[in-house]
Amino acid sequence: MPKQPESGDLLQGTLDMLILKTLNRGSLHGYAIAEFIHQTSEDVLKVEEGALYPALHRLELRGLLASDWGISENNRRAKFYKLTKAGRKALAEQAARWNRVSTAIVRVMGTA
Amino acid sequence: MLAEWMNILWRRSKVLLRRRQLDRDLNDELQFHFAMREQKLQEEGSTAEEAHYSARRQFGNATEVKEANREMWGFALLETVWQDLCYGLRQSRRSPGFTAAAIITLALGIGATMGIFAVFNAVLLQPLPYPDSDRIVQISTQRCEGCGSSVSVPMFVYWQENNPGFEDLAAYQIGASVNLSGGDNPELVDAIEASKNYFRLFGANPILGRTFTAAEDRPGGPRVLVMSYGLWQRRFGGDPSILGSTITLEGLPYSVIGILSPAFQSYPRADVWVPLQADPNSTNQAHSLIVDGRLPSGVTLARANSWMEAIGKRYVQSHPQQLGGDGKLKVTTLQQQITGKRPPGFTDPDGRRLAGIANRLRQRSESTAGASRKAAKRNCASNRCWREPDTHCSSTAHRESLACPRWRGIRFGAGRVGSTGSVDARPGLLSAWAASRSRLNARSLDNRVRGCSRCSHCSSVWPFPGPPAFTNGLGLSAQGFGRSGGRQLET
Repeated sequence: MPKQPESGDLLQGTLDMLILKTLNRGSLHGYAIAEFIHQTSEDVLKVEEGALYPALHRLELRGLLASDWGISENNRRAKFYKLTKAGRKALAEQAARWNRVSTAIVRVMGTA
Repeated sequence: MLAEWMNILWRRSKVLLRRRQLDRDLNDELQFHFAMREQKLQEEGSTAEEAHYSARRQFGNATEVKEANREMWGFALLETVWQDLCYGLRQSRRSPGFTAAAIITLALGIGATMGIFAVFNAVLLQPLPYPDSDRIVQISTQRCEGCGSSVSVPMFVYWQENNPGFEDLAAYQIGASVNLSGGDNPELVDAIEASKNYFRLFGANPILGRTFTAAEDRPGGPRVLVMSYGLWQRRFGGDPSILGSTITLEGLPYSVIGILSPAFQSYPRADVWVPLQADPNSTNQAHSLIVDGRLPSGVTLARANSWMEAIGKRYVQSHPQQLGGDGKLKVTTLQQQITGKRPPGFTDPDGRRLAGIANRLRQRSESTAGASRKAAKRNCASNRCWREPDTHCSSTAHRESLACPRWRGIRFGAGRVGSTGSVDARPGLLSAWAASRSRLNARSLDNRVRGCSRCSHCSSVWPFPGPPAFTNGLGLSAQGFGRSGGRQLET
């Protein structure tokens, strides 16, 4: 039986954009990225952790993210990701597209 | 877009040399994630054990994430193909008896297929190994409707004297086995009586000495012979001093004047050639000669037939003593004669035999080759996949429990079959080469035979990795998993 989508599941294709947006604030490790999205969306958006790391590595492979090992807030060794120049450009493009689409959806849904 | 792909390729190349580091880094990264999640859960009131398991449940299948990551960074296809081949070789090593049986079965199957195809190829598909072989024709009599026959000496002499344009018109008589004596071991050798143009027509060049002169080919000429390279090597050890010496054929002395090149393959096979010495005054009506010649460039077979039709009529008028039917002549290409595409009912004894071989080959090659190949692949490739339940089914079940994609399972099976199959192709090719050499005197396999070998090999082994990957639908992998697990518990 196919899995029913839950209310907190991310829309397909938006995870990359949310990761890029989250990292726009500065470098973060994977766990922090998931937590930031979860908390900022006031517990509405819940990142599938199993999908987060492949997404991070895919963005890194495409050159949109760079990574470096560092020490976390609780003194553990952690991998920190940050946006590259290409990543910022991609974020701008994706955000613009998202705005267009979401505005259109709001307009449609706002009709009587 | 291209630049992005180049960048991706460059990053992958960098990682390729430090794959283990990549695995360790991902492992560390996930461990950090679990630790952070556990810490948060404990802060929310879970026990350490509950937090440990809950963090992993929440994350999902970490192995799948690692696998996806490896494939993303690596040259996944190349790497997994290599891994599958290695795994296949390890499996083969674990069951050497089974592997040997598989290799021998496939070798026999592919070898039989290739042997048949090699003969088929050499007899029917390859051009004859003579210069301008497509222009070499055979002239025969049509003594009755639909039947063909060889030629008498007076006919050949007349054709020679009134040659309308055939190049290197030559006659030869085959089928004589003569007694070669004079040494410790007398033996029967195959002889051909040939007119002097025979050697130029078939491009039979001597590597030592010469071939017949016109004087030697006249009636009453000296007894000379030309020897094949094979007989020279076998009987006389390649001794060049044989040239000019005398050997005894049928109790008569013959002077050796030449040794032919090993590249020359006569049809039919022969060891010695002696001059035909056709007598212009002969009235012998025995039809014992085969007459071949080369069409001049640009002359069609139809035109050659019209030439010979006219000559046949003139011959009948000038030779009233001839047998009925000597005026009806037919020109066909030598290739057609040899491969059996001849006029129906051609009665030349050797020709009929070859035509029979060609026809049988045509009829049976596909069915026999197909059957032997099918038998081999049934007995081997499928066995390899299906009849090792303990290792195969349990490993299938393990892979599926780790969410291994089905296509990966197919490729996994391909590695197992292919690793054995790649080995199997070598004995198959060897068998084909042996068959080709023994039956056709060929010294190497041509590309067509090699191509057929590859196709035969591929169709024998490669379709079979698929079915085991779908055995889950039949409940086989689950059984295998259970059985394997049961045995482990018992021991």
